[in-house]
Amino acid sequence: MISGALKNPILVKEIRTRMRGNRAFLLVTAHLLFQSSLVGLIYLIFRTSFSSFRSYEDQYLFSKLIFGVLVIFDLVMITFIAPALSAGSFSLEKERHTYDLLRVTVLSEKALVYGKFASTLSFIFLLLLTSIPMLSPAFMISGVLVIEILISIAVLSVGALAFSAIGLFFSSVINRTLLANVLTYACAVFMMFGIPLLLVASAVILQSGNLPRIEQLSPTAVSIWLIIGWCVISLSPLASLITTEYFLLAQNNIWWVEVVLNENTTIHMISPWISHVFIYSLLVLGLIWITVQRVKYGED
Amino acid sequence: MSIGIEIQNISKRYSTRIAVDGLSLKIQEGEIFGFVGPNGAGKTTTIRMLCGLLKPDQGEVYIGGISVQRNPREIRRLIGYMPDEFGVYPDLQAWEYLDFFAACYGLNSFERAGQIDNLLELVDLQHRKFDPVDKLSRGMKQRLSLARVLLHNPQFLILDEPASGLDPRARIEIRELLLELAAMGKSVFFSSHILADVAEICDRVGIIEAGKLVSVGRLEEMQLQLLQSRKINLILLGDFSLGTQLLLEIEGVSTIEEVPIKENKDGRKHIRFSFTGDDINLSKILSILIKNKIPVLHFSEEKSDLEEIFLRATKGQVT
Repeated sequence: MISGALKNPILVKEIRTRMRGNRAFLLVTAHLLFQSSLVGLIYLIFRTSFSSFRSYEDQYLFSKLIFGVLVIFDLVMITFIAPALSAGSFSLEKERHTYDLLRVTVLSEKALVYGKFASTLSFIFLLLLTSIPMLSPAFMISGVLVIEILISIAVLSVGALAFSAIGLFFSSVINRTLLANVLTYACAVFMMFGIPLLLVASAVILQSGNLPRIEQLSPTAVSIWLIIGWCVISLSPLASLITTEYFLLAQNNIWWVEVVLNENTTIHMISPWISHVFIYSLLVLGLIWITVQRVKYGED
Repeated sequence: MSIGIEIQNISKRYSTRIAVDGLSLKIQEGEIFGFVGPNGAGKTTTIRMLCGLLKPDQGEVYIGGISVQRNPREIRRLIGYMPDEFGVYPDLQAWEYLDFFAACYGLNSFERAGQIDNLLELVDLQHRKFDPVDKLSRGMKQRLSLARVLLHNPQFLILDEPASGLDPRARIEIRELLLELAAMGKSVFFSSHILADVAEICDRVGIIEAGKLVSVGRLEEMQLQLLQSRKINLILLGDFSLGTQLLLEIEGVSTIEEVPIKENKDGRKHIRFSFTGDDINLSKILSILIKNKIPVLHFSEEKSDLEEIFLRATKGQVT
């Protein structure tokens, strides 16, 4: 089954053409050079600013900073690379007049969508995999736990899957690559950065406005607001990671989060990264299913 | 011969516009069928429904006895489809292009290598095997496209305007290839608005206009069906006034005219007249002339070309 999946003609052709020439090589090199420069720059700043760099606190801070910066860099990378690779998957075939040629082959619609999806992901995961060793200084200095790295990989992976699936979806419903690109980028940027900005803006408005204090609300109302807020946080990879890290540092639990409403009431919520992975997995499955239906029924 | 493609009363509507309107057609196995019509007549829509790329709003299409709507994947093994636009992957070489589509048709790597070489040989592109597809001329691209259509050895070839936009040489090459394929036992259904191509190679022709099939059959049958009179050419020796007089007395003969002859030898006279009647009555005209000792050098029916038939059959409507 695995060998069959790897022999998917679309996947083979896309990888073959993408890896041809020096474009892919240059992109991976630029990606790694930028990341290593970031790590080097942070190291230099620490060496020159902190005389006692050998202290545990400084090294802990240094490793946390490297880890945070590299993960955010990878998040930014998938936000911009995944739409670029996926939003033309089907619309470009339509523009090149090859879409119908593919649809009349014996390749199933699922195989067609899988081939496109896998070829997009293969390059994103190549970039992600090559950047994992960059996290090693943070890990070796002992400021970052293995579980934190695993959580960040999980969030980055579902982010890559989701943004690629969004690109594939728009590419199947829209005939023009430019429009499919614009819509995919709009969604990806909103989900990555728009939602955290909205959350911060909402928090500022809530704190400054003449709104009832949390103690004045009923426990049910508070719970509903909390669940809504949690879901909104889970819609953004960036918001989910920051919230997860915050609660991990504060409560030292990767699975659950305790939210104290008042002296008598404490609510247990699942950690945001879990709900994020769950919601994004559902989103990916839903979008892929719609894309398969679109390819199957075409203009009908 | 059994029926290869059967179209049963299919219709397709795009919002308010009817692209195909109750079209029915039967095509025999091993036949070359030309599908002719003006731009916007519904040729491409019909072809897309034949290939299962579009679902008819009503009616059904059978290929090799299998319903296209109910078994689209089975049909894909039977048909080879060539659209009116050549689909290009600019970064692939000619052999890679064929290799990719052969893989999409489920051919394993050993089968693919042999099949690609054979087909490049057939379409005379062996010498361009390693050239990028977008560097090939339009004629070569069409030939490569024909090779792609044949990768999985389909029984039915459905080609949408295979010769459109080609120079005369490339058109002749494509025409010869189609004849070669028909000789190999393939059924060829192809659309064209180049009437000369259709007239040259097709066993039967269907004319579509405004989504409706206005005429179908062999060219000769269509000629009888659509043209009101037959044009007869007659060359006589010497005084032709008696001959003309006799012709005027025969029922069905009209519009007698003298056609000037270049380099007239021995006082030849070329007469053309219209005749409405069957073959038996036409042969009687010749008998009458001979009985009356009129020296006849030449007696033949003028073949009407497809253009004339096409103009008769269509009204210039576009949906």
